[in-house]
Amino acid sequence: MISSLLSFNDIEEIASYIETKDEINLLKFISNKGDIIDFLHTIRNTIYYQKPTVSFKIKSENFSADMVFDKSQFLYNIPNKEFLSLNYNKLIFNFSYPTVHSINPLDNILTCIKSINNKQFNINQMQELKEIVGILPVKDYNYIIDYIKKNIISKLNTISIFDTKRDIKTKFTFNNEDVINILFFVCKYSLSYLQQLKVILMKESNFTYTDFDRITVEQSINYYKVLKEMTNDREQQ
Amino acid sequence: MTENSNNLSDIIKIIQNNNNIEVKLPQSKETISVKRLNLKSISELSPIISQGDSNKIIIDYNKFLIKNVKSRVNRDISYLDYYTTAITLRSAENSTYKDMNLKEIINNLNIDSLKHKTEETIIEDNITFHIKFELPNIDRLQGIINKVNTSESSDLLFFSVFKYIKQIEIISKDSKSLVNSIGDLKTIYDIISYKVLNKISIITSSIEKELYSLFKVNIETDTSFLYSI
Repeated sequence: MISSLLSFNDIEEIASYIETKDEINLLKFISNKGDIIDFLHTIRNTIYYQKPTVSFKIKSENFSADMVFDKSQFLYNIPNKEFLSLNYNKLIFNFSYPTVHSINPLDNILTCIKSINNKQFNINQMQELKEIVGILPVKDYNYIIDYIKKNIISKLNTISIFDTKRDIKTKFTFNNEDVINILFFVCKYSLSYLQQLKVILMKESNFTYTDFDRITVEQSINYYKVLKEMTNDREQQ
Repeated sequence: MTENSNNLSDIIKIIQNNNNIEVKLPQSKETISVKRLNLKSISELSPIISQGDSNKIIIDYNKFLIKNVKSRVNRDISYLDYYTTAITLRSAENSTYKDMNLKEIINNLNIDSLKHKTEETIIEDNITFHIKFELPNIDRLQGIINKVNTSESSDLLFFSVFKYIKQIEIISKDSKSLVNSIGDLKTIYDIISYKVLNKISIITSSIEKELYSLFKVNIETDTSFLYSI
C-alpha cells in the first residue's frame, strides 16, 4: 500500500467494481481511504504522481478535446480539514468532513458527526449514531443537519473538478454520483488490460502480488515498457 | 449547561430528559408534559405516505397519529384535547404550517365558539333514526379507526362520518333499538340506505367545518401536516 496514492492493486480493484457496477463495494473502497478530503487528496496525488500535468478528454455541448491540466486546474479548492464544535440542547457535537460509505446520502451526511459529548463515532458505529439521532426531536435533528449542510457540505461544494479556463468548468457536488465519477479520472484502464499487465510482470519479471500494492499503474506500465525493450534487444542479438 | 458523558445510554438519557413539552389541554383545562416527536417516530410515516392507495394512506396516517398522541398522553382524552395535543406536538418541531403560525392558533383557541348539532331525527321508509352526535374521545376514535381494515373508500367514509356519532336509536313499527357500540354502529353503517347516510353526513360535514374554523387545519385529512416537518 502506498500512503495517499492509489496502487496498481487499488486501481485493479476499482476497475473490477466499475465493470460489475458494484456500487456498494466502490463506496466501501472509497470509505477505506478515509474521509472525503483524504479520498480527494488520494485521487489528486495519484493523478499527479511524478507528473506536473495530466490530460483528459473533455466533452461538452459544443466542445470535445483532449485537454491538459496542471495542478491548479484539476480537483482544486479542496478545503482544509477542520473540526467544528456545537453545543446544542445540553449535548456537545463535534463535526468534520464526511466519509462516503453508504448508498443512502443521509447516512453519509451523518458521518460528519464525529462525536457527541465524548463518545466517538466512526462508520463502524453508525447503528449507535443512528440510534441517538433517531431519538432526537425533529427540530433538533433538522437543526443539526442544517448546521452540517451550511458549515461542512457547502465547503465541499466549492471544490472544482476541473476548469479549462475556456468556460468549461465542472463543479463538485457532494453526492455519491460525483464522488464515484471522480474515480473514472484515475481509473482509465480496462480490467482486462490491468490483469494482462499484471500477469506479464509476474511471469517475466518475478513481481509478486504484494509488489503491486507498492507501485502505481503508471509505474507498472513503465516497467512493462522496459521489459519489452529488454526482450526486443535480446531477440535482435 | 452540558452534561458530559461518553456512554451511549447516558447520551440517550440526556436527550430523553430534555425532550418534553407542555400541552395545555383546552377541554380538561389540564397542563400535561409530553414527549416531543422524534425522528424515529416521524420516519414511520414514510412507508405510510408512499403507499399507492390514497384511502389506505389516510387510514394508516390516522392510526399513526392517534397511536402517537395516545402513547404520549397515556390516558383517554377528549377529541379537542387530542387535536390540540397533535397540533402542539407539530408546532414544537416547526410552528409554521402552510403560512400559518400553529402556536398562535393554539394560544388563541376558543373552544366555546364550537357549536354543532348534537341530535337529528331522520325518517326513511317508515323507520325513524334518532341520532346523537358527539366528538369522540381518543379511545373511541382509535376503536373506530381500528374497525376500518380495508382501503375501500366506504370504510374511510365510516371513519369520517361515524366518528361523530354517539348513538343511533332505530324505531320501526314494532321495534326499537339503541345502538352505541362501535361494532354495532359499523353494522348499521353497512346496512343503512345511501339516503340516510347522506343526511347524516351533511351534519358530520358541518361538525368538521366547525372544527376547521377553530383549528384552521384538518389534521385527519392533510397528511402533510406531520410529514412536512
